[in-house]
Amino acid sequence: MLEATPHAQTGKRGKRADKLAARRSGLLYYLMRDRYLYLFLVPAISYFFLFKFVTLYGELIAFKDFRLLQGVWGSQWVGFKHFHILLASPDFWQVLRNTLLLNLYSLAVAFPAPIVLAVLLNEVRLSWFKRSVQNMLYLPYFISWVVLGGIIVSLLSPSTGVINSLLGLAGVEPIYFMTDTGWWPVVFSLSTVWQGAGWGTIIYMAAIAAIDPGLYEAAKMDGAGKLRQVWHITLPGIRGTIAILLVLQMGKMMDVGFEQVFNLQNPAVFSVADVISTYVYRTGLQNAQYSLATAVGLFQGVIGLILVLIVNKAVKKLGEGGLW
Amino acid sequence: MNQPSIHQHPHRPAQGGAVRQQRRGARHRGVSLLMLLLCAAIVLGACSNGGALPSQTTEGGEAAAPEQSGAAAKPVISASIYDRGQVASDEGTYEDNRWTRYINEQSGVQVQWMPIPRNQEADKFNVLIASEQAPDLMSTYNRDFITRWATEGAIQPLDDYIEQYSTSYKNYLAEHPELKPYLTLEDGKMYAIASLRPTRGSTAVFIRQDWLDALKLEMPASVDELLEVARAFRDYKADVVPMAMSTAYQPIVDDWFMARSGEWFAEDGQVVQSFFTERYADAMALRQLAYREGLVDKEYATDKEYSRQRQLWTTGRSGIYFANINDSMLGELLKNEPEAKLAVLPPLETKYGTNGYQLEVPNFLLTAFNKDLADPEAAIRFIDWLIDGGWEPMAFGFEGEHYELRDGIPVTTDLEKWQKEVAYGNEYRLVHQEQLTPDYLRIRAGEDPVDQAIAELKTTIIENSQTYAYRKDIPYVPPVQEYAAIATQFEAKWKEINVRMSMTDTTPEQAVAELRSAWNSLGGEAVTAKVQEWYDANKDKWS
Amino acid sequence: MVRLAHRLRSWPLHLFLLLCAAATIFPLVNILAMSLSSSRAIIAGEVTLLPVEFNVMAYERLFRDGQLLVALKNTVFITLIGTLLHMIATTPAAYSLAKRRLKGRAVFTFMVLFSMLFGTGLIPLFLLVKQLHLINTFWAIWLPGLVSAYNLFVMKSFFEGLPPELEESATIDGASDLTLFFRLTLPLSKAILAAISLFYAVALWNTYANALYFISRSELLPVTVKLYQMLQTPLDALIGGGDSSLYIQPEGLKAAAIIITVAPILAVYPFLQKHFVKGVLIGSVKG
Repeated sequence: MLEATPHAQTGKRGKRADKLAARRSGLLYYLMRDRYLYLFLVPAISYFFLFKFVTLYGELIAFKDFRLLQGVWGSQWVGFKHFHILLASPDFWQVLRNTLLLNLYSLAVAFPAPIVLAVLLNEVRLSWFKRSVQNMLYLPYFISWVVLGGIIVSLLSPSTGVINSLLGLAGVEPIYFMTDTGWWPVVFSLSTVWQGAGWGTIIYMAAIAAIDPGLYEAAKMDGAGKLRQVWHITLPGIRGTIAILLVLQMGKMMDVGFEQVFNLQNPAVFSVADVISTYVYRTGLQNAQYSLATAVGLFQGVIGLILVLIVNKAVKKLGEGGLW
Repeated sequence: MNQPSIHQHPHRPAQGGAVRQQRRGARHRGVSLLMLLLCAAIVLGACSNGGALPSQTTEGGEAAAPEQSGAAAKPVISASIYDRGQVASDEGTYEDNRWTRYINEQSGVQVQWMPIPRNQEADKFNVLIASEQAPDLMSTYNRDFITRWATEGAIQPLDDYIEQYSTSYKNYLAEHPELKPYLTLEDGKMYAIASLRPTRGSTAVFIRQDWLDALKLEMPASVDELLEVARAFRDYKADVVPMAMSTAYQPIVDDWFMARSGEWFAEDGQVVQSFFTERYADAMALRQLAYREGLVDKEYATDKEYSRQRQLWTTGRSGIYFANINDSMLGELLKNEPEAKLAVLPPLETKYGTNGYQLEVPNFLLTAFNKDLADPEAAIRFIDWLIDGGWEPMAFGFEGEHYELRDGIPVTTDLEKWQKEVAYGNEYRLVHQEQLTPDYLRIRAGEDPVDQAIAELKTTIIENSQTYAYRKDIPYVPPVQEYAAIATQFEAKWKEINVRMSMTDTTPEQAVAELRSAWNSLGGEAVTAKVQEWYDANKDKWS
Repeated sequence: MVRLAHRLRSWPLHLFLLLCAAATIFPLVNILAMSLSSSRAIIAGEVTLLPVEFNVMAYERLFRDGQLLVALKNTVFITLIGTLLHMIATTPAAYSLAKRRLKGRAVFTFMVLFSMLFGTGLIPLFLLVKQLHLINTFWAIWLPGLVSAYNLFVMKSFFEGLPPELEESATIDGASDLTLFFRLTLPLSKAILAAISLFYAVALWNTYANALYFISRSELLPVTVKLYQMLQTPLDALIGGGDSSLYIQPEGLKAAAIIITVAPILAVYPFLQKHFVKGVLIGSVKG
């Protein structure tokens, strides 16, 4: 059976395409031409429609005084009341600032880390070494923050912690890192690297694997050393991946992972360690104030959207493919 | 998916026939994928319901066919039960095991149980209520839930039902009037059923009697004497941190000064938060002193799970332990150091007088009636049967199998069997009459010397709790909406200020000033006025 | 000789990576040691890298009553079928969205992005799941997370990065999108397929919240929920019920629980690793 798929723009095919275009116009034409593409989209789009869009009416809770038994539609409309409460709350601005700052630190430190690691791993020739190291690097990702937090605290203990022992050898007084408002964000950022960098290398390794090995051979023949090769081949080769992951990361800027912060924070450093998610946990969710929690979620989503759009534009200007 | 032809020569146009074959192959593959999907769907549909009929899945309180054939239709009610993952698979599930069957056979009522994960009960109950699937009986330890459910209109008052249908529970309530205020909400109606908790004793301070003896010291009777003892302990041996803590540390110290954090007090008819009484400043000063003099661990702020504290205590590096009546670390210490002798501190004196130790609220598990409860009489019948003695096997097991009687008190004979077959049954005792009296504790402890020692300690704690008066001006958290709205935010603040203050040179006065400014910035003044109003309207109810 | 010289020169690299690996493997070694140590030693803080007072009591205790095995079976099933479902839904969609000529591409993409940023409320989701009669079935775990927007975007970006010449030469013969997808794109995308499958598999393996809300029958619970429940210290209801030492959770229980959850993934990953090895593909469009 012949496929009447007027794909490419060459020769006979193209002419047939024009004929088809002349016959059926508009949407139907495209539906026919790309019918498999649309078919491919069916499961995913149905999913998004059903589970994400239909349930969006739940966001309305943010504008109502939600009562469980009255449901979303029956509860009373209060407009922006919850947003007012949120923005008027003295702690909210501090919490917002902390969220942004901690995310910025993470961006600066924890975003490049997996890239660096992936590139370094790529340079390892001993395949058994490379594979073993990779297998070990991602391990902390699977361990919950409850445990990791406890380990970090004991590592940094002023009395029994390894770090302070090492500092002691260098003649430095013990530092109580975890209760120090200056050190805590540093510990936080480094802990993000520790937990996630190894896992993050997976995607970059996949991207590096897609680079044409011929390019490396050509470069070697031209006399390029390791560093030149990395700079001119490896990094540009994964530019696209870096760009897309950066854009996606922007969507999360308003959201610092609850588990991580909750398990690392303590009352002495609330002023720098309290973020939106922990704040909402205490005030919104614990009291089942779903309306407030939803309002916060909306707020985070809107800011996230704006950031994604901005960075996406910037990334495309730099020549990379953005989200679309 | 290995297509060598395309792989190696993508630029060479494939021959027509080959293409046709490939297209057919593609279609075949697509079809086979679809078949796979279909098969998966069928398999799943069969597997996940376990072949059960829809009516058997635990959804809502509809009456299902009675499980016993030949039994005249027994009334059916549904109830929530905490799922703690303790039912062994050969015992069954939380919905169906020896105890659910026992209840169905003996109580005159059939109960369908709906497991609720213990650690996520708030959300689970909320979604059940929101989707109108909540069970007839909803049980929780948290009184705030009862209040909220009542406000939401999810539960109904039950005074009339008790009046009309109940016998045993009605009598029980009459015998224990102290329960009533805790089951009643602001509108004066009773919204929950509960029985007394096994003991009202909760916090306690333990001390190493053997250390006191070695240093020839007397048991401290006042806070100042305790500090002296602590200092002596610190110098007694190397590496000692005299006072080990748990979550009970801050409350206990607060309680010495009758100023427990977060509580409201009434002084000269005016309500005031504990923080703003003059006594609170002294409590904070004490904690600061303890920190500065090295009487407590310097790293307690980051010790979230209190693992360092437990380490200190069980390895014998601490002499004083602020804990709860149930703390398992006591047993751990005695196992590690059998020669250790423990004692319980009596209430300590401060310049403000002597306060007893905190008493827990008298009620235990609270059970509310769903507003859609179809058969209240059946529910009451179940409760009556429970309180009448139906609860006993679920606590102790069966005589001969799990325990034997000594002086009328059941002593577990086969621990393994008890743990496997009876332990989880405790959950089903919505109401019961187990009380920890000294005799009960001593005899149930059996032969083991460690258990005996701990039973003695518990006895002392319970006796203390019944002897000494504990100052509590207002029996429970004022159910004032404006207060609830800022309470948790303020909690974060006072925790922070307390911790920071104890670790630095901030004076108590400065700390109180910080507390006040935090309180005011949250709108605290208006809230205090509201609480005052509530207090004036209600204070006669509980005197 | 050249290889030896090369190896000597790259020892700083190897050392650095070794240190990183040591830093990351340390927590797991620590936890493994704790799961095999005595309670006493753990509380006393004596356990670092090696078990102290070796015993397997924690594992015995967790596996004793058979519940955990049922839960593990559930988790394996959930993960395997779920990953298949997720990939079937995601991969073709990513392919489609990667094609610039698709009309409505921007709209669909924005739809996906929007859903990523604005999460679903618990109550509407619960009502939906209930209305679809998915409560107490595994579909309640698979469907609400069927396509991860993040994974979709990453995969889409990968497909966009494939050289267009590949497809052009095949379409000259009249190959349809279907053929292209199955015969050309998929075989070349092993690395990204492996990566995203892994992401989905791990997420499914660790599924907790959806199971908690939508599944109440204990025999259907996955391992995460089961373990969390088993680790709850049952203080409330069991005050004074006889020997209090019965209710002491051996400290190693938590550690053993973690090992049980993590071990299977650690076992599987090395097999997927070979797909990330360099040089698996595209080098075939030459000259």
